[in-house]
Amino acid sequence: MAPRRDAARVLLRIAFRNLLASPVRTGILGAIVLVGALIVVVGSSVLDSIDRGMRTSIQGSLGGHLQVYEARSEGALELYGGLRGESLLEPIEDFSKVKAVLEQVPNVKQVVPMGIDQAMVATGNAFDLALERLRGDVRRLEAGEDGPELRRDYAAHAAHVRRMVQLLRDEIAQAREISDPEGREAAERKSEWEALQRAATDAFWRDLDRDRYGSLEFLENRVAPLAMDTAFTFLRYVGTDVDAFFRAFPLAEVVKGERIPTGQRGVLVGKQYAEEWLKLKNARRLDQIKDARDRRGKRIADDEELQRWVRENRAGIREILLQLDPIRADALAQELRPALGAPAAEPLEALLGRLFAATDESFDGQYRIFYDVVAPKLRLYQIDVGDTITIKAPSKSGYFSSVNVKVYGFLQFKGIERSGIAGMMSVLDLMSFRDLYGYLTAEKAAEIRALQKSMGAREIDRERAEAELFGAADGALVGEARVAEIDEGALVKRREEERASAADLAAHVYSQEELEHGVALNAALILDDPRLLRRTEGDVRKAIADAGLGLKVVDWQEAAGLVGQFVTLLRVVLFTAVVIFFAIALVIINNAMVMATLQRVKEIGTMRAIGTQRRFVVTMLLVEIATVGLVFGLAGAALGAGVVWGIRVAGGIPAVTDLLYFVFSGPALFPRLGALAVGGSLAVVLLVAILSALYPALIAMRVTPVEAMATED
Amino acid sequence: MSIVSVEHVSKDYMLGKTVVPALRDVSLAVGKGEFLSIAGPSGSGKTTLLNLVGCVDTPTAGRVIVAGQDTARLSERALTELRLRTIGFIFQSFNLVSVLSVFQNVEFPLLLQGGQTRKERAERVLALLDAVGIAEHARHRPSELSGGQRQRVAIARALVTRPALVLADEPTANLDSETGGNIIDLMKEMNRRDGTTFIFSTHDPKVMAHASALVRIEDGRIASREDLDAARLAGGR
Amino acid sequence: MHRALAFLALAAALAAGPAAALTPPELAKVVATIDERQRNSGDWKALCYMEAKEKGKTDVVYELVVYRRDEDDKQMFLFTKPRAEAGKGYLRIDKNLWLYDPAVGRWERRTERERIGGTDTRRGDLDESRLVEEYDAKFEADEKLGVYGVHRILLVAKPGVDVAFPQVRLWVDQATLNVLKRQELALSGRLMRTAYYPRWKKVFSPSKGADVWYPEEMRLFDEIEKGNSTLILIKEIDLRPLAANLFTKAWLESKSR
Repeated sequence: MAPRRDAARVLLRIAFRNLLASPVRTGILGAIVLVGALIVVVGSSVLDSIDRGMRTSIQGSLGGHLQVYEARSEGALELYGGLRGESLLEPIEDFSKVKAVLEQVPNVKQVVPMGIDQAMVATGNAFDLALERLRGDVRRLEAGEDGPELRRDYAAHAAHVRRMVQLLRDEIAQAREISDPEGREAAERKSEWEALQRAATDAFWRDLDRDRYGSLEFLENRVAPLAMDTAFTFLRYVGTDVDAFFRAFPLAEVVKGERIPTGQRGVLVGKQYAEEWLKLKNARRLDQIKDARDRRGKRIADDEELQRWVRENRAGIREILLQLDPIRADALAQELRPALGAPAAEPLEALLGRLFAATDESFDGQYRIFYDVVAPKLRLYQIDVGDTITIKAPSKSGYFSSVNVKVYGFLQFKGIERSGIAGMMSVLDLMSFRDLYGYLTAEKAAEIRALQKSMGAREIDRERAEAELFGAADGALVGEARVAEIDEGALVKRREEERASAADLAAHVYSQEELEHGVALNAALILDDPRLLRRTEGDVRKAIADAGLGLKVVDWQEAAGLVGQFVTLLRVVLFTAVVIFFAIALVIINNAMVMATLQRVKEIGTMRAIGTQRRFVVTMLLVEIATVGLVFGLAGAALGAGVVWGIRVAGGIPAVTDLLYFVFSGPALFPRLGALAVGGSLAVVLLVAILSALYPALIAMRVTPVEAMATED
Repeated sequence: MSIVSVEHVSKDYMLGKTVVPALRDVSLAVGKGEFLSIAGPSGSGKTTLLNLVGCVDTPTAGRVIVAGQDTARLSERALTELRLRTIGFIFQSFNLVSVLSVFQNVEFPLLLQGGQTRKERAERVLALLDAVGIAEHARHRPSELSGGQRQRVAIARALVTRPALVLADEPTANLDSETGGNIIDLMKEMNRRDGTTFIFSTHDPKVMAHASALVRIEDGRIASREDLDAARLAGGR
Repeated sequence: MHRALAFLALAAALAAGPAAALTPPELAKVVATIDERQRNSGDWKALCYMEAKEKGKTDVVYELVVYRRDEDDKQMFLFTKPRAEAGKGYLRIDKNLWLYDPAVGRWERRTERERIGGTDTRRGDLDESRLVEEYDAKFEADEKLGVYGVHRILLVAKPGVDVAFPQVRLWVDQATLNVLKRQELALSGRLMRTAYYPRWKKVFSPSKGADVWYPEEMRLFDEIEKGNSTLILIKEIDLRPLAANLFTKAWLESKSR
């Protein structure tokens, strides 16, 4: 081997010296390689960290490691919702069977039943809510209940409604001045105004007790419709076995209130959802201003968005006034006056105007006053811990189903609290989910068929309807009927057990068997060792096939749907950028090397003439470019590592959008340098360098010794 | 026995679609220890002949036998090996490897051959540098030397493997006449000292005069072959 | 399209023979008669069946009792079947439509345009006929619908009156003056819904002292979501006076407790 070693030595010597002999060219090639390595290192480090963040977010919030769902489903499972709303999944009719089979698969730790859907939650307009509370009192009074506490509630609720009537009247009085009294709907407006005037009179309230229901109906049907407010909101929830859910998803935590007790009905409302959609708008805007000032360094004085929020807050005072009954309104005014340094007689509306007229100097103080003084007297969230809410959804059987569930707490996912993707999600007990889902059982279907049959309903083809209905003068067009006696009391006989009151349902504790024995839409699989995901995925598939369950298995990333594809998208973007960069690099390096080779044709010919093999020449060229690749690649990787370190020291890449919050699994991304990133970048730059030297090497190889002989004359 | 034997060799080049005959039925034998000059005007085919003898090109017809091997039958690798072991080259424009020092340039063929210790190599290289008279420039780069000095280095490089045959293509063409003369003297000295066969092309009559034999080429044919040594001996000079 | 329709209508009118167009007083009388024949001056209670078919979905069916007190403009629906729906109800007072679900014990404010029970039925389909009050009539043609000779009449909502459909086209049986077909159109003239009334029944009303007519069968075809249709059958009519407090939330609540 000694001859080889000698040859290798001189080969390296020539190669290195060649590089040093043309510093400009080497420098340019080096810079390209360096930047390439830098991009790859930083890009892949950031991406890997994003990947890790996503993994944390998805696996820890809803995804688990694997998901199974009915294979016949029309759509694909999209845990965080897709472009066209919720996934169209066929139900898993009996979750317990799935659980029994999948729990036996090695490495499967837990199987969590799930059903994700959206439903309407009636929040009522403020007026309707106040009236509903009053009606509750009236119902009890009319039923014969009495007592000082009930009387107090009744009086307070009535006073609150009365105050709302007054506020509404003031508001509409202003509107009347603007609108044209002689317009098309003048008569209607007039009758509305009269109703409102009547509801605002002392006499109306004095006589309340004389006809409580009558007065309520008057207020509900004639007055309340005039207060136009949104009356419902949409809740996105995952119906699940709540205990199993918390065991499976360690990021989930209850931030306010408590967990739904084992086996009971209830809902945990997503904290971020509550903040964005349920919170009193003024409070929400104060939070947003504070966040913008504290975290993003914005100032009211020079930011249009913040100025808009301040303006909207001043316009939103009505919402607060509507919430307060007269006693609390007075108490609040008294507390606010000294806190704001306002004159003694200033009314509440003006005080609130003062409170919400924020400047950069006054904001922090006003923010504190709002939360210390005003907030305790208000209902900050439309739906709050301790409430019982009514969720209504169009069920799969075509009928609407409604359930009442108690709000046990607010839910958030540690680390991704502010993410609108996971944070919008609420957790609902499985039994309520099933009620809302309203799977058409065989029993129900039979009942419907029987009813259809008993009514003798005939189906008619739309296209031939006229011919069928009016085609023959058969005398069916007119007939005579006899009056009947309809007894609705007998018709609306519901079975005793179905009459379970809302309170009974809420207190009922369902057994684990009841929970598991029923419909679910998908199930999350938690693994003992996530690294064996692929193998377990195969095992799960096999177990499903063996048991004939007919389920589809997807990994967490696929289950995340659109969100899961975000990383793939980023990868494609980075990959494309890198490919373009290196394609350009390839051309440049190739050109430079071709030029260098052409310049050295004589030298190469000489070397060939005096006995250098072709192999030597080619190797020499490759060594030259590989050296550039290695040296500058290493430098680029080192620089990249420095950049990654710098990003970390500077506080990471901030998550400026909800999606990023979720993707980063926190408020900022701290990229971590991976050995793979460094190794990968070196491999890539070396590969590209060598690829780009192949053509020049071919040219060099074709140089014949004759070239050395070529005389210059 | 001849070291080089050219037998009925023709060589054609393609120039576009026309065939340009460079050599036509040339036969030539060069004996060991000869100091043969090939002369002729530009384009006469002397470089082609040198290329064929130097194994850097192969004939269109006929045989070229170098050191007993028929070059047409050798692979590219084997030809390269033959050049490395048997032939030394001296070029008109010196053709040193610019990034190597004088010493390293001369050492280069030895490294390619391999099989020697560093000490052996050094001894041989330094001895040769001494012999060609530029030992003091061993560490310099070719660019720091004059043309004559460079050609001395080239001669040392050509001889360092102790080849049976040294080919020189117009070795003095790029040198002034005095330096050229010195180079020819040096080549001649080496020829005498080691018995190395030299074949060189030139169109300088002064240089031709140093040859032991002179082959004239015209239009791809050998016009004459004169044995100058014999003539000198006969002339009693 | 419109021109084609008009042409068809004209052709149909010619085919129908020499029947003369209705004069304005005759037209007014026809429309008034339609209202008058269906009017019942007292209370009204009907046992109905409702069936909604939607493409690709299972049928949604109900049995329900419909209550009317026309003089007060009050209306109530109480669902009785299927069992899971029993006790749910709608209560209409003026422009308010309330939905009650006994499962959650809550009232929900709905709009007048509510699709009753998720079907294509609007509350107006089960209400008193008020064409004279709500629309201006325009005679279009006399033509044939199947084997029956009919007047085709276009109704356009009177200004300032809030109705579900701003334009309605009626095919009225010339012999009996029963409405056989009804098209409901948007302001733009776009066809929204077509209804057929193939069977009319009369029943003697003591409070009115005359017969009250009602469509025993109503077939509603959705023209926007083609393939969706709803069938309403009125099975029984009860004309006894209703309890005074019937049209209240408290009464409906009591029925499902």
